[in-house]
Amino acid sequence: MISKKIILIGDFATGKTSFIRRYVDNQFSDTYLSTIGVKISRKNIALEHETVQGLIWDIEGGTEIKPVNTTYLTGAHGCIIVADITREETIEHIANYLKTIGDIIPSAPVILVLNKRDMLENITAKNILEQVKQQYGQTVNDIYLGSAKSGSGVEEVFYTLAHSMLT
Amino acid sequence: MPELSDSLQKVIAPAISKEIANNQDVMIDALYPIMGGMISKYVTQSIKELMEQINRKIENGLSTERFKRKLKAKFTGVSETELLMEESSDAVISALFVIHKDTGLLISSASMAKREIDDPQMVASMASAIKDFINDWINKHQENKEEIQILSYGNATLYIESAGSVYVIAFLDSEPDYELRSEINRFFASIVKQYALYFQNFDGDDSAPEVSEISQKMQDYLLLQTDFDRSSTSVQKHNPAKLIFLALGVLLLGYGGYIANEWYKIRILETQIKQKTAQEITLNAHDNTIELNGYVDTLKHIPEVIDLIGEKTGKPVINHLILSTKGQEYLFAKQQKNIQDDEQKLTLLQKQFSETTKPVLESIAELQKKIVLLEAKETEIHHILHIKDEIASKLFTAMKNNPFYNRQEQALDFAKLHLFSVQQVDYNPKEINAVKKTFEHYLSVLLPYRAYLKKIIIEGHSDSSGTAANNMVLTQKRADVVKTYLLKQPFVQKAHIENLLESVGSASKEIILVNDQEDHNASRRIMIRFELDPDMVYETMQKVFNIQQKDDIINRNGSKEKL
Repeated sequence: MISKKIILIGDFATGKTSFIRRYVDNQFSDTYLSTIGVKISRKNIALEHETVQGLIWDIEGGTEIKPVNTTYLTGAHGCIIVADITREETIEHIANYLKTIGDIIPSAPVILVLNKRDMLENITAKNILEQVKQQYGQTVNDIYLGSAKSGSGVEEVFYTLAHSMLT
Repeated sequence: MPELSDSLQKVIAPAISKEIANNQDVMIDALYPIMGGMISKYVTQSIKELMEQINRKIENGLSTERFKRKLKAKFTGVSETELLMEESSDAVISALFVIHKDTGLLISSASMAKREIDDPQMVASMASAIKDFINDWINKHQENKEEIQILSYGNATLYIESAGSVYVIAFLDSEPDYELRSEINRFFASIVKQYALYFQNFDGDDSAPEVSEISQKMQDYLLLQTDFDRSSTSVQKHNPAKLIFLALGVLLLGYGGYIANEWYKIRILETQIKQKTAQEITLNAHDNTIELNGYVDTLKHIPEVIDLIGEKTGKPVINHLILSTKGQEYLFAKQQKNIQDDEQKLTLLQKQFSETTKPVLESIAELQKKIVLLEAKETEIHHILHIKDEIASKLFTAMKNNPFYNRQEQALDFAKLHLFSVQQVDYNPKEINAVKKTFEHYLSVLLPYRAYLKKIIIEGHSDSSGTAANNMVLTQKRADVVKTYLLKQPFVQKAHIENLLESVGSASKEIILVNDQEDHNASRRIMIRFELDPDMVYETMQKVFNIQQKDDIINRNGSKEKL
């Protein structure tokens, strides 16, 4: 089996840990627990003809005072940037994360997730998605609306990333 | 470097052997700034090994083990020192991991039987993350770029050795001594040398033949270590792993007892809830919460159940109960009836409200009509009361540039014309045209107010010469001739103001003074002024009030009819 290192980065409290928990354990909790350092999970991602063992690194969310520790990005085969669709600044910071990824792991495919879509009306969420697509659509492999709470978009994100990592 | 270490040990050891047992850190701190990190490292190692030897000597000095070792040395011919060295190498490697440095992915692993590590891939990743974190921290805080080599927790030790694109982790039950570390490094170097290219190009695929080859080599290495342990003369000490397992067993037993007790409490609570509510509710205890599961016919007991659980366990409740179909149907029917009742009440209230508000709204409409009427009357009254001001204002606007207009008296004063000669009645024909034109203009402003005009007075004036009686006659005649002249003018005839025009002789009552001297020419003149009809104003006002009184009467009658 092929193993791949996948990292999740983004601002603090954007729902990275919840996103992984939904994907790996199919669970969700409203309680916010800040990740310290890094938390690693593992899940096999089944594609059409093969299975990828994903070692998913949930990296402590960045803040203005304490940016993301870029050491953990080294060697990652794929990357998921998570932003909170209800917090504009987390979307604005995507550019910084893309710069960091470009510096450290330029060949890694990147998926952008606008998490917490369940907190907005469909039409509003789609409008924001369109704006983000216009801004970053050419830079990343794909952009998804997601919800760790409802599970919407979670499987698709990891599936698309696994597919991108092998092609 | 070993020579330096030996030399230093020879010089330093005798002098500090009495001190180092209790002040090892002080010694390192004192030596480090002077000798630098590298030397300090070896000195530290030497001191540590010296410490270990001294400790063993102290431990075994009077023990039976010492006598056994002496006897063994006599029989086997192996020196007591060599036997002592063998005893010092008692750290056991339980597993070896080869990990890709960049990705943290496990390339290959091997472990001793019964000491296998669960989920080695996860362990490799976590170890990699920890190593990255510590290395990052060290490199931020130190000038020398060094890497972590030992991670130790209790009796579990991880020895890490990096090379190129991979690093090896040896899992041991105690900290390895220098010899064991060197041995691991030699083995690891042979692996790296053989598979360097594979390591460099590692892409996460563990199905490559190299992976199983490396795993086999490491397995063989671990087996050799076990054989050496069996054949060695090492003293059998208490096995730390056994102690750990024993301690873990005790802990697990205690934990099991606790869990069983909690489980029993929850089952009792479930029974109590069932007795109270007649509902099958399952309780799942978590660390900080109690979760309610199952199907219920009604939700009315939920607060009671939550109170009971809170009272018995002190934990908050997470409600995952599902209302059964029967219960949902009942609730639905109940809510539907409630909605119907509410609708009926609402309709009734709406009806009552419209009945109550109808007369009020009608009254408001009537009042609004009255207000409009009153406002119109107020405007009319204001207009009547201020009609003279209004005429004066319009005259001023129309005639402010006319030299014959007297603003103060709102009259025409022809003093500036030489209209009459001394004691003459007839006017100067050259000047009368100015009177005609000015009067036409004056009349055009007055005509819209004709209904309020009582008369338009043509006043004849004389100078002060002559008697008063003569002047009275003279001025009357002057006024008459001007009146006759004006009555002949088409604009006067068209206006039908014959009955309004009145000629009056004023004699010399209003002579013109210039610097206290009479201007005789100016005094002989005509003035024209208007006079409002007070009766007309009064009549109009009364008319307005009469209408109002009439309206009031109508309203009162209307109200009576409605009542």
